[in-house]
Amino acid sequence: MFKWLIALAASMALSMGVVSAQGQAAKTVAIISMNDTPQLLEVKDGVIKGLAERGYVEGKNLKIDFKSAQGNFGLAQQIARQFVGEKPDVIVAITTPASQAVAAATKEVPIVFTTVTDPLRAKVIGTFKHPGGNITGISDLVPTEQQIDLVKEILPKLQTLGLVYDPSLDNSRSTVDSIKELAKAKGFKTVESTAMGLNEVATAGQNLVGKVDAIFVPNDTTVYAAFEALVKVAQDTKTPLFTAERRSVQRGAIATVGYDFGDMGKATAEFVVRIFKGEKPGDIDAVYLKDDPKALSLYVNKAAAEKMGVAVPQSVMSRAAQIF
Amino acid sequence: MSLYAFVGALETGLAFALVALGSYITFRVLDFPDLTVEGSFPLGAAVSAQLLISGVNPWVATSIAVVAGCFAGFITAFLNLKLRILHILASILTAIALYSINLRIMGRPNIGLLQVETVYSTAEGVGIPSQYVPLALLAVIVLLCKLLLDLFLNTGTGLAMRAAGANPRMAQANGVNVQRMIFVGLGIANGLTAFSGALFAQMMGAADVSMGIGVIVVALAAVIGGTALMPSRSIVAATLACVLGSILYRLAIATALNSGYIGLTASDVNVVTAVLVAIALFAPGRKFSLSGILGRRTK
Amino acid sequence: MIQIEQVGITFNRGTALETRALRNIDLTIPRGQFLTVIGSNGAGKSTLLNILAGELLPDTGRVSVDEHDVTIWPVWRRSKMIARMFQDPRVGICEQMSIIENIAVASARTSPRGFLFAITPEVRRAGTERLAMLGLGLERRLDDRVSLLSGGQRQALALIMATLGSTKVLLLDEHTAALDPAAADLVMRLTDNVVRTFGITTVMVTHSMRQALEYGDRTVMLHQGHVTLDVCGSERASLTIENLMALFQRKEGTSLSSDQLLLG
Repeated sequence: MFKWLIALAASMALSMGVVSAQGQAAKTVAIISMNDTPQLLEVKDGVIKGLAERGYVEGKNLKIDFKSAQGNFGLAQQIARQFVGEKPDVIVAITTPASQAVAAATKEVPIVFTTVTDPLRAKVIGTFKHPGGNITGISDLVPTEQQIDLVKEILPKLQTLGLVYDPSLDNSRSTVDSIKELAKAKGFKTVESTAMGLNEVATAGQNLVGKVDAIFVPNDTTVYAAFEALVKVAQDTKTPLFTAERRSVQRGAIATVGYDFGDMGKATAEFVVRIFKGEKPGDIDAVYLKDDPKALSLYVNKAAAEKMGVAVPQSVMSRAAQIF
Repeated sequence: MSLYAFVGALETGLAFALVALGSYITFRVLDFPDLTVEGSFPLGAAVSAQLLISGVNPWVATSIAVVAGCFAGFITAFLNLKLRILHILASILTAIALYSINLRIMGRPNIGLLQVETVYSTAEGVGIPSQYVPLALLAVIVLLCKLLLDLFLNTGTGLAMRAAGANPRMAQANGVNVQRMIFVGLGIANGLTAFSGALFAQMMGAADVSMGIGVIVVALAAVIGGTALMPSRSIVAATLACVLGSILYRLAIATALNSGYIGLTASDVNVVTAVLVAIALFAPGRKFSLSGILGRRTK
Repeated sequence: MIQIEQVGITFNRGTALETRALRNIDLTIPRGQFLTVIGSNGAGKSTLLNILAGELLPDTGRVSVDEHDVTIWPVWRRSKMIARMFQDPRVGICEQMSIIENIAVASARTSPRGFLFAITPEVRRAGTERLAMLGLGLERRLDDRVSLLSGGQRQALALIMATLGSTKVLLLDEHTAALDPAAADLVMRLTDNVVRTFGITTVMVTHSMRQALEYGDRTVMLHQGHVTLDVCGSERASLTIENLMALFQRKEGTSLSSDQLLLG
């Protein structure tokens, strides 16, 4: 038994001796994500790109440490502790649980949260304006009103809207609740169909066929991971498919007025740079990305619309920033 | 590794030690492979979180969570003993059902606990520096649970439970109601697991419906690793091994996380876990012979 | 005392393998009697014992022990009165636990278990005393794991465990059959000694006619699920194995063809 203890102690001692090899001017950013689905990795890449655009290049004057918790909460907590112990300049936390873990781990190291739909409910911050403390960030709250208006503009006779999402994702829950509220106000019905893993996405879509006039995906990373399967269901059954994100429109949804996860990441980089320059996170207002007028643009996939038997009205096409 | 990460590993290790103790009762004492923990861990988190945001005293909320966990254990026992469903399947069924139940309890997949009063905040002001309060509290709780378990397993009922798991036919012939022992054992084990879930959620700042994923692997790594490193037949030593195993597991992960120079990333944690368990199974004391590997049953 | 009334059981009912293992057997065993039960394979003797022990439920009939109707009582409930020894030395004891732990489990068989320590000085004292009766030195190895003991030692320990508490009935299920001749002999002599000392009503199933006649007060022979011979007292004392065989031939019209019965 003692052999193992010695081995463990030795490796711990070794790891404590590792010294950072960067120069004085290098800034360090530690990025934690709850898991590494493609969309969340896009956020991370967006952060790095955004920082590069602002003069902080990885390898030159920037050190990036990215770790995914692979959906494991115990690991998320240990990663959070690991990051805090290394005292980076900023910790970027992607998704709600990751943000909670990091927020619980430190009240000193600056934290920027991103891809958290409802940071107030998640108790990551207490208020958007001047949050105080060491945390600020961007919410990816879906502009549901604009989305629904767009769907109704393309399908004026819409009566029932289907929603496909993963019930374990808090972000999706928030968006779905918002859409259900809108449905009451605007006079249409909603039908929910859940997919607990990416293997169930196609089935969840099939369950809605015939019961709904269109399907909407509330920016759910699980559904996006198996999105092509859902597109196939929509095309085969000529059920119109809409999402809240640009890349998925490119992949086969009809239209959206939104941004994509890469944009999310780049907007996050702005926060990071402000903290590099000395601002305190508590003084930086948290924002909704949808409130940034530059962020929301209209994207249409004409070919996809045709495959689903939908004619996109000219009024929409003329406003589109990009037509796929 | 920073002191902060080290202390963090100790805290996480202690929080999960309760699941390890619970899995010791089910897997080792009762010979009942119980995967209910994947559901009862987040159940403890869900129940305590929902009560905490409603303003309930943290200790009361956590106690209720423990009771909920016991009931989860009873359900698995019922499925196995009365409906005659294979033990491992019964536990999986309960865990699956709990997923939906937990979502119902919380109302949504995630409840934030960051500015809410927790058991840790009630322990502040005792005189220990604030950053060590969770560690101290967890150490006290785990030690207490371990001691109570040691005592219990040496009482008349506890000994009967051990016999029921080791040789049910002999136990029956000696007046032990084996079915009742399984109910009690599963109840205690899942109560401990729910306790762990509640403590962990309050430490992490949130209860999330996906928290149970991977918990059983961690618990088994602790139990197997611990008892292989400390082979001893006394109960006291075995439970200590489970606690130490859980802590050592977290320290190993923290080391792996820190060892960027080896090229290990956080994604390799699963492989690290598997390697640890494999090493532990072939630790000194086991034969490297072919028959040993082929697993001749020497229960 | 034990009362077996019209007990019958059929296995694999309705299939090609249907067997009437016991055909409405009546048997009364007075208190303190040492009964031996023999019969060839398939005669029903193990089935009868399993029904007495509670591991099988009969299709018809009643089993009473000391005025209590135990017919449908589960094993653990009737073990408060009935103790059992198994043929396999590994089944009757818990080999992962120590000798004294096994004794402690058995000590609580006839009384309710609680949350007090199982291994008290009282249990140790009583255990030591009883184990000393065996003359095997087990009383000096109380904390040894049972896995270290030989088959004969395990059966001896199981025997002591079966006599603890207020046990009224002892069921012996070919309990020496798996032992080598020397150990079998030792365990059998110990059994006789212990049973006599504590006056426990005993039912011993054996495949050995020699053993059945040498020990006990009364011998019952089963054949195809019914009682074919029942001898006790002076009539029994003078019986030899050949006598038994002749009696059987006369009763059933066929001869006993089991080597095991004759040579064992």
